[in-house]
Amino acid sequence: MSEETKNPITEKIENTKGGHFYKEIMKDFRIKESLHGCLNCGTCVANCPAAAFYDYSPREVCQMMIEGDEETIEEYMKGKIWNCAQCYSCKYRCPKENSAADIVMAMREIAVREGLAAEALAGYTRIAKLVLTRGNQLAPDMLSPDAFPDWGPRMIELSSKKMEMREELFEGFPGMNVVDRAWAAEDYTIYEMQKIWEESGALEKVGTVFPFLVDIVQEDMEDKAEEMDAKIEEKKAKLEASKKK
Amino acid sequence: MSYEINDVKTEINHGKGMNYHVHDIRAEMKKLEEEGEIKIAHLIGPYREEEVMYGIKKRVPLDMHYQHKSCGQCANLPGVPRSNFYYRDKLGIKYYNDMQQTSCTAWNYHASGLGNLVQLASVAARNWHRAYEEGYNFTIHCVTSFGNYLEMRHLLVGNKELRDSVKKVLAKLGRELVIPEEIIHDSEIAYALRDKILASADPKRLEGIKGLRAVEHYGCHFFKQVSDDIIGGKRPIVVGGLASTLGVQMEEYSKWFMCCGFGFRHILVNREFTRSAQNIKLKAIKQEVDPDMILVNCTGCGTTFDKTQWIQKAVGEDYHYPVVFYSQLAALALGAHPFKEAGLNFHVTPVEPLLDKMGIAYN
Repeated sequence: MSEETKNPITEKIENTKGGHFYKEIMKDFRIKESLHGCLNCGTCVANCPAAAFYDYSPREVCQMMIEGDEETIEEYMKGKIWNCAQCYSCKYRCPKENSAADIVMAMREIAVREGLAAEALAGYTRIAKLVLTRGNQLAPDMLSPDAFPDWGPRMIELSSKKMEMREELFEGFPGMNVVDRAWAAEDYTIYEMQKIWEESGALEKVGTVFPFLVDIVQEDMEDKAEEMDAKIEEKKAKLEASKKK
Repeated sequence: MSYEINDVKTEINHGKGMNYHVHDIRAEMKKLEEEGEIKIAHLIGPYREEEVMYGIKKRVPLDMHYQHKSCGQCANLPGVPRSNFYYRDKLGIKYYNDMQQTSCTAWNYHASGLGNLVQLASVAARNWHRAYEEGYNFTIHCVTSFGNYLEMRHLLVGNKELRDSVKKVLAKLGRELVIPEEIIHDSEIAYALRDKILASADPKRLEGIKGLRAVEHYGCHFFKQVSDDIIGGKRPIVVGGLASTLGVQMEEYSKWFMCCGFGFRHILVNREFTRSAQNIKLKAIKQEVDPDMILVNCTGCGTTFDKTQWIQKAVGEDYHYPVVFYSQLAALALGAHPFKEAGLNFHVTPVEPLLDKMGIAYN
């Protein structure tokens, strides 16, 4: 992708068709890289695992964007986008190098921002909380047999023995033998992660689905702000000094 | 049908493609570095060149590895990071297991749409900067992280607005934008080290590995998300390449390309999709090959293949294929204890029949 290049296909539609959702989607700069016209050949559908099991079609995703078809776009925004497996098989196989997966990703972001994702993200609270308070996305504690009964009887055994098994495996590797997070990221590191979410506007977006999580994160940040901000100031001074050298 | 790895090395595409794509990301990065727009974390120490698409050489660092971990592996398949450490210890490779790194957050992003590109790219750049300030080459355990970092590099190089936003966030942390010269997955390193692993392997273990029949499955984000930086061309070869070097007989199956069904959100909230996709893959593997094991390099796929075989009994299928990561195979070849050092006892699809066949004691 080059900063100066234009995409005549998306520009033409941008100026003529489309409603609210269409215009919001078009603001994402990835769309210009994701739509180069569509032959309706169906190669993407043939390779799409979601199309095999759901009422979802990557071909339709490209077509509705090319046509500026707000009615179909709305249908996808309100539910169908969550069927995509984000495997990018469509992108890999498309003879025009379109990427329905990238268009869907832009749409998911908008769905969250516009308050359309509450149902789709039900059951997602623990992951979101872990990301925002521990600096990583998964913990051995989350993999309980209750939550994953279809993973079979061996999960029950693993779950009951995980502490001693991990202790044996990670002897001599500090920070690895933890069960409430994937590894023991330092408090300062978690604070940096939280700052990124705050500064990028992503934390505010979390509030549209999980408002209580924003309160938890902000309280957590306030508790350690003085100590952590002092560390950041030290780091800034060090960086400035290295630039002068 | 068994195959040699050179047979699947697809023809390298030397075409130029469409003009709004960066085809030589390294040249673009060099230009931006000269203009003072970005810094590049240049490779430290020895490297081996491997060819990717368009005939471009990817340089794989052979030492000084910053270990950017996978949250899914550490939580769920901890034998994989342990094996990654093990093969480095055995080969005398220096590495850094940093506790000041965060998850890439790409699993969260693709599953939920929570977050945004500035957040995702800033998290990537903060982790890259950790490796840079510690003096190590950034290397990645997870395929989702790998695909995400390839994409973030691509977007940061191609879009000044995103670059400026990320720089602003990083400045507030006392950090700067330093993009690694190469985005490297750990399986690419193991592949580049295949001859060294073979030379250092335990002969008895190699005896047990020789002639095992395996199929391979690559994570979609390893080669479909940003597909022009893949060793071998259009189809990845690193897992099968390492395994066949160690004596495994690699077998072809028709559904090799198909997604495993992990789906990021589906594995959590829509597992009927995951199980259905798995059934298609596993059926083809059984009917066409019936291998001794399934070899993988991806956190999500390893989880899905390992955890979703038992439940297929519900549709009258009986699958029992041990799921082994490339680095667990390397660790076994180098003499690792299968449970205490390769962590294969964390897998729910039994690995014991495979270990018996290989002549490796586990109790």
